Amino acid sequence: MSRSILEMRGITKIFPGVVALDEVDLDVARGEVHAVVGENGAGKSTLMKILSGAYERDAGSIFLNGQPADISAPADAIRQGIGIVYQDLPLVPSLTVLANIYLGREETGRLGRIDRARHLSRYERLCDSFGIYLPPDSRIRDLTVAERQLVEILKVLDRDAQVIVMDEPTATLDQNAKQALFQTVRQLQAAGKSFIFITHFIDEIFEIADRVTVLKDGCRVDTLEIDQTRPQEVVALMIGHSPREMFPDKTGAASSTPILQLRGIWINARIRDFSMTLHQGEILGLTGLVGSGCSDIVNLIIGNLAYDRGAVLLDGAPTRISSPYEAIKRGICLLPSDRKGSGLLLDFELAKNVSLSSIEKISPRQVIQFQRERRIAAQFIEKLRIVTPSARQRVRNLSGGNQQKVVLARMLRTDARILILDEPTQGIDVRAKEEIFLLMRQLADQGKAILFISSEFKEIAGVADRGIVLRNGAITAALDRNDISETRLVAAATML
Amino acid sequence: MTIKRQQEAQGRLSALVKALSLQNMAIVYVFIILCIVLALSSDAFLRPRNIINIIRQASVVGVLAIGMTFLLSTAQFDLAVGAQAGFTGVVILLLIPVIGFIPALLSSLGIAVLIGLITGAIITKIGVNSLVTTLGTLSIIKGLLLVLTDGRILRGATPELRWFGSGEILSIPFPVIAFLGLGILGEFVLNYTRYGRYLLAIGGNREASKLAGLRVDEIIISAFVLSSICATIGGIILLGRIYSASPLGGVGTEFIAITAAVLGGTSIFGGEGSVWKTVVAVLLLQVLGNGFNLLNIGANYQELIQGFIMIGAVALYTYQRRRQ
Repeated sequence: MSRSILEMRGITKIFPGVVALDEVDLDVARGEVHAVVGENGAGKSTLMKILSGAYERDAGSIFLNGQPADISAPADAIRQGIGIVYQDLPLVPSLTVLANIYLGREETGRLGRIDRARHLSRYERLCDSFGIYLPPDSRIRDLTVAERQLVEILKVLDRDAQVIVMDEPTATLDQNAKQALFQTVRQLQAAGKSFIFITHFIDEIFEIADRVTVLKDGCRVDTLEIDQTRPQEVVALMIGHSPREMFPDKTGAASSTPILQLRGIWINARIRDFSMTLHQGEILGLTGLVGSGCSDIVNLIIGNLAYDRGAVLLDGAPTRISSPYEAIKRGICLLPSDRKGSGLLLDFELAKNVSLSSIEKISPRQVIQFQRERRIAAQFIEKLRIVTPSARQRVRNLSGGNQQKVVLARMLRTDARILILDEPTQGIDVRAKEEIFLLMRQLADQGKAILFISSEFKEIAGVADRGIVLRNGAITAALDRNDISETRLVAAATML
Repeated sequence: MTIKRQQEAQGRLSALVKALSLQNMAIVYVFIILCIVLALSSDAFLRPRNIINIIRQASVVGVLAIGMTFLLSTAQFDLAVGAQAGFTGVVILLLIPVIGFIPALLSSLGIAVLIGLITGAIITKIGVNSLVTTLGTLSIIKGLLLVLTDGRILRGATPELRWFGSGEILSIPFPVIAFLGLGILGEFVLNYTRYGRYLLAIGGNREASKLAGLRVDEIIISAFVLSSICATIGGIILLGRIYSASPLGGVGTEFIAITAAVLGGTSIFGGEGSVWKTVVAVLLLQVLGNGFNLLNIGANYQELIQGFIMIGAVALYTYQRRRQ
């Protein structure tokens, strides 16, 4: 395409042990909205980090307006007209819109005084030329997510961005805000700006994009004109026919005793009429994209989040769990998704991490039995094949997979009947994943009830006996053992 | 089997080497060196009387620092403990004529529990941070001191009270027994019991501890109660030593207590704490002052040197941790 504003050719990025990007091409025309889709780990964010100068590429070249561009640091990308609107919107909440937009680039008058008048006139010109308006003196913390996004967009426009990269821009927006965003994008498109849309929502790209590039396992699968394809085709390309990971056989009892039931749960507007039943001896999968509400469900079950309406039943009896402490007392134990932030005591030795939830059992009287604590840790090191020099190793020094096994060991020590595993495979290697899946199945076979939350559809399809899909806080599919498949899960999570 | 045993022996040896490393024991080595230097340069230093005196003088700050070590281990602290020690003296002196000696003593402990409960509840249940909350309680307690004393020094310590300052058991003064006894007890509780483990775990990662099923709020509140009780015990010793209670008594000692705990290697970010090293650090600071007197350098230099030692020690800990 000769009118390309941005061309990326043969981009390759290698991380130790992984080829994250393998000769990926991407070109974006002036005034185009170009969607980039792919499953987790497909390479979308790595590609954008190379474009933004956050990562250095190992091979390949980037052209802007047909000229080779030298992008080796974020400042280079900004200077050459590439603007990134990040998903987590890095703005200073306590400062105003105006202060945020000119942060670090303030125009100053005498004695270093910030020249507000000049900022304001520049801001107004900017708003006028693109038909956007936000009160300049509003503080960021008083704005909605959608408005904050606009601030980010204005920020990159002020730096004269020609290509604007938006990372999952709609994940946290409601329907109206989404339409407003699309409207803004179309206006800017008409003004000649180009967009790269990183997204999981397949239906949305058919609303807004001109073309879509599908990435899979670090390779570009294809680039399609939107009006010459269908959502199903895009999903099929995303999933592809990659070699299957080894999943254990599904042996979950088809009709066993319900242990935990959620009935018609509402939480503000975030969760709408959610119901599920978890049976003894099964693995129930719960999935959805970022912001779909899966984490609210987890927090609700362990008593970390209150609900407005509905009921929770434990062994058929209505129950109210108001803290993780109570949840564990009743046999419900969580493996948190943020392993480092809320799972582990990183600077504590392995044995102390394992015993944290069961220290009363290990040391029935107040005095801690250190020998026993380490012996129990050693048993788990052997049983779960945790690679560590000793039970006294600080967990900070273990690999992700081994850290996760430490949290699993802690759960298992509690003798909980209901295990909630929230993204247990995040950031761990394939071997450790397979071991964890096998362990999950063994635990289910022993009669544990397992709620398995993952945004990896393939894993849910491969491991869970049944699956529930959430989107925007509502169930869009409940698939039983005969229906569950990656295609159906992806479709329910990404398409309306 | 023998290989395994060898490995175990090696593991124990390397654990011992690590435990004695400069990183872990810097404060102890500094203390020992300082003592040797003073012993060599002054005959008076090693006399039992002088040693007992040093410990006795350190006892009030020491007891406060032990409580502070518990708080810091859970990533909290309390700026009001010094003022609270002074407040204890005033409360007891005002109550003795009214309700008698033992009830006055028990009341002061009851008040301590109450102050700890309230402070802890504000911090955990409402979520105000401990700096702001305890700056507030500090101001309130100082204000109460002025109101209750009308700015004057209260006298009238009874003989029973004096016993807490100079009474002896087996010719060891009570303050020394209280300070070292609480030090041993505190070290045991913090590093060898379930309760201590909970405190350290919460300091290490509050969110993870909560999700692991610990009653985080209640445990933090209990640490404030413990620290508050320590402040009151410190206050009783102070009263017994100086026989009177002034509206400014104890104010400012909280900073020495925090200094000592941090010098002892307790992290202000929680998760790590050593009561016995806090005790060593308190003694170090006291010996420093004592040494200045013996060497005629003058006590005016003490705070100056104290500040350098504190920053030096923490810089060393931080540097070594970052290098790891």
